[in-house]
Amino acid sequence: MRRSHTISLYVDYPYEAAYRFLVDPANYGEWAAVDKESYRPLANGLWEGVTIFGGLRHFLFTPANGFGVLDHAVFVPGETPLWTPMRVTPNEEGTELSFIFYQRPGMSEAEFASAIEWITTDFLTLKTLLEARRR
Amino acid sequence: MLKARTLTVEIARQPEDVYNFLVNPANLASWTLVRNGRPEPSAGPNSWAFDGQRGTVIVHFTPANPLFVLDYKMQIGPQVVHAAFVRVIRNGAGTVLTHTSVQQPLVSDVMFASEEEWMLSDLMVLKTLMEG
Repeated sequence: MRRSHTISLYVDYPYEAAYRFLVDPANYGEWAAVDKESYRPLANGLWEGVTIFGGLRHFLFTPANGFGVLDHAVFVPGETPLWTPMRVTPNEEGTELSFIFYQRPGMSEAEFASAIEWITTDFLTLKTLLEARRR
Repeated sequence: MLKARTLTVEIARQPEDVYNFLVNPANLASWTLVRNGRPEPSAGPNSWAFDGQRGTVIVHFTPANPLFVLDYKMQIGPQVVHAAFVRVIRNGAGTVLTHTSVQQPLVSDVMFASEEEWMLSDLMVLKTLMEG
């Protein structure tokens, strides 16, 4: 079993609107660490783009569902997708977002810690982006 | 904004096994302090009644689903005393269970903190049961 780290944060933006934004794969490039110019859909349902720290990756997203589940996989083209669990849930007028990051095979402690910092930055970007849309 | 707290437990057991155990409402009595589960259709299609320490507890479960979501609400009389978002997630051959409690209106900070301690101890019982 891989080591996991859970990130959770409150976003001051309504749940339904947050989910609607996040479930659309086209919006992933707005907040994740992927180069927006390179990010595009492929014919087979996958998306591809150049990540800021890892080179070209493919992306796969969970279809829309009634639970706010937003699991997605980021992987080297041709390799097995490694799913990263993500979910939004309502909290009165706002939204709770949770995300689990797994230590990948061959990833050192320092790399794991660094990746968590990168991802935390992504989520703070997302939080700012969504909260700005409210105003 | 209600206070939310997430507990995460790693379980060395396939997620299908953990989910199939938890999705059956009758099994709640084997790892928490409630007893004597029985369906309570008058409270909802996925609602069960249990005997708890504070009297009859109604638990509203989430129907079986392929995403392994196990959200629930607990009600005593007219008041929702506890509500949580729960997922069973694959981690290689094992499972990560995430449990996010949301502090309900009328539940004090002290009560909420105490319930989270109880919940963690319940989840440790579940872990031991599933790994045994």
